[in-house]
Amino acid sequence: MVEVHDGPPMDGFSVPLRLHNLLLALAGRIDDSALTEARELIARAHIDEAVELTTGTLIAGRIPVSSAEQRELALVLEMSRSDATLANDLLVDETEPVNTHRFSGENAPEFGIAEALDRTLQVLPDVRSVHAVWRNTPAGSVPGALPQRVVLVELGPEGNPPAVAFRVDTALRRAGIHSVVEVSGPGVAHSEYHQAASAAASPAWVTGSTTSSSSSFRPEPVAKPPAPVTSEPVAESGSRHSMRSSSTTTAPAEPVAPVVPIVSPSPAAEPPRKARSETRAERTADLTPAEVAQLRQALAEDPEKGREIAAGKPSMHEVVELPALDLDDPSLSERDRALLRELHAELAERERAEAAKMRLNGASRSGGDQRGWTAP
Amino acid sequence: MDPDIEQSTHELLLRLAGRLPDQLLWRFRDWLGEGAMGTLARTLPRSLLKHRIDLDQTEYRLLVAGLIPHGADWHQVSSTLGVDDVTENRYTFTSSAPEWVNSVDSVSVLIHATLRGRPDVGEVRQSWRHVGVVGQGTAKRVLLITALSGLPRLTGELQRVLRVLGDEEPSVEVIPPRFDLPGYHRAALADSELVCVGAVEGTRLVAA
Repeated sequence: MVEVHDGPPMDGFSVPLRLHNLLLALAGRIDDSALTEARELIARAHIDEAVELTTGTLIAGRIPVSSAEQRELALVLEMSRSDATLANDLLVDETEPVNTHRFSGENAPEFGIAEALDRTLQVLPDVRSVHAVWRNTPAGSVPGALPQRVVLVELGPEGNPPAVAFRVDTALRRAGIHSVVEVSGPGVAHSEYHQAASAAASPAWVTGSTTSSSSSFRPEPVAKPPAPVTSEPVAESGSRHSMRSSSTTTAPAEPVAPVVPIVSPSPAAEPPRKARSETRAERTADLTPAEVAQLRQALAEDPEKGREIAAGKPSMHEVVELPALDLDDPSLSERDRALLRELHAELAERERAEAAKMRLNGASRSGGDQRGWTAP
Repeated sequence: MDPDIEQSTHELLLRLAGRLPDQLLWRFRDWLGEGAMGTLARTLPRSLLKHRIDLDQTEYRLLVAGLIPHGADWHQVSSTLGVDDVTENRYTFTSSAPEWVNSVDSVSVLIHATLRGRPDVGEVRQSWRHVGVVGQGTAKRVLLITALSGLPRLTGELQRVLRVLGDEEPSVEVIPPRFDLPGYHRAALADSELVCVGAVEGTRLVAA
């Protein structure tokens, strides 16, 4: 990992993203009002006020930060022409903080979000997914009302996290939906806070243009996109906020909420999703018989793959490797076997069609363009 | 912390009610309540300048007394002293709760439970602040409290309570005795209702 001070000279463009990433790491540790206001200030190009608010909130609340975070705050203060000595008053503690927050997907945290963001999502570039979850625990030294709705937005490389955070928050407020909006771009590992939140989150809006078959909220397993220098603070070694390095992560700790295309035809018509187990059951009932059979087979061999199929992830771009048809499986009834024979043939046909389609469209698969918005 | 310095800054933040945006004002008051004077010294003067808030001579003296000892930038502090008269209060106040407040006002009940008979606290009143015409737009609760000591901490404590109850940018005006009330507070008190009285008698905000 790269020491932030050893990086190339920061121009005015990268400072906002540095502070945005720092705020992501501070989510759950400072109050949601400070997070939201700081993000608005970043989007409005008032970086100095944003970093002063952030630093002041940490100091007054005696909220410990790591020395790496202290250095990063001092650097942003300096680069935004604020008083960098303010960072000297921060309480530094290298002890790894334990994520004590509790999240819940009960009671439809995503309700109304897709409608409220309809216009916003049409206009803002490269928004990949929007999830929502309730946080039942207070954040920071001056917490607000509970439960707090946390909206998790995942962006592609062309999205601008601070701008999206501000615009999404504004649209939700206008619709009377009170929330704190966490926007993650590519190449930034997710903190324990965000992992815990996304594990319980319900999808509110998901685009069909995901670039990989892994879930949007899962840390990138191997391939690290050309990350902007600005993403380094949260991936710094020894960081207290438990950011997972994308290069060291081998497997997700826990399966996350499946990404489901609930956009069309009418997101509003979707009944609220309840607990994750119910969600999966409901979704299974929505699958075609062919998909049910495929899912059953896949789950028997590879639970992770089964979840992906259930989530509809491989839909357009992925050809699912159908497990071998095991008609001798004693757990299958006669009716199941007959059905499976028929459906296996149908799926094989579909697989051939998908493969042909992919050969035609393979070059245009989204994500091929890895232009980062911070690239020079 | 030097009580005079703390008192000066508290009075200054009191006088900035209705002038500095609510979301900044409650935050600065929270920082004062937590004793983060160095942070205030580095941020408050700049905020005043950025929001084009000029101070009158009394307020300027409070700023100098409160924040220069904690490292406020002298040039910034100097620039806050205005020449023209301070803008008068631009809000209107009503004593009755707006319709959206439930018939049971749980915030008021909680404040009553917390402050009734409390040492060093006098009268506790509340008013509803409106921008422009009453009935249009949203009304905001303003708490008006007299207290003899620990004013910044009491302010911070009540702000935290109100935030947990859903008021993101609480307006808590804890007024010291013998304080020359600005127009904002006089207008609020003129249309306020009594919530409760602490242990201190004889600190009435509104003439009986």
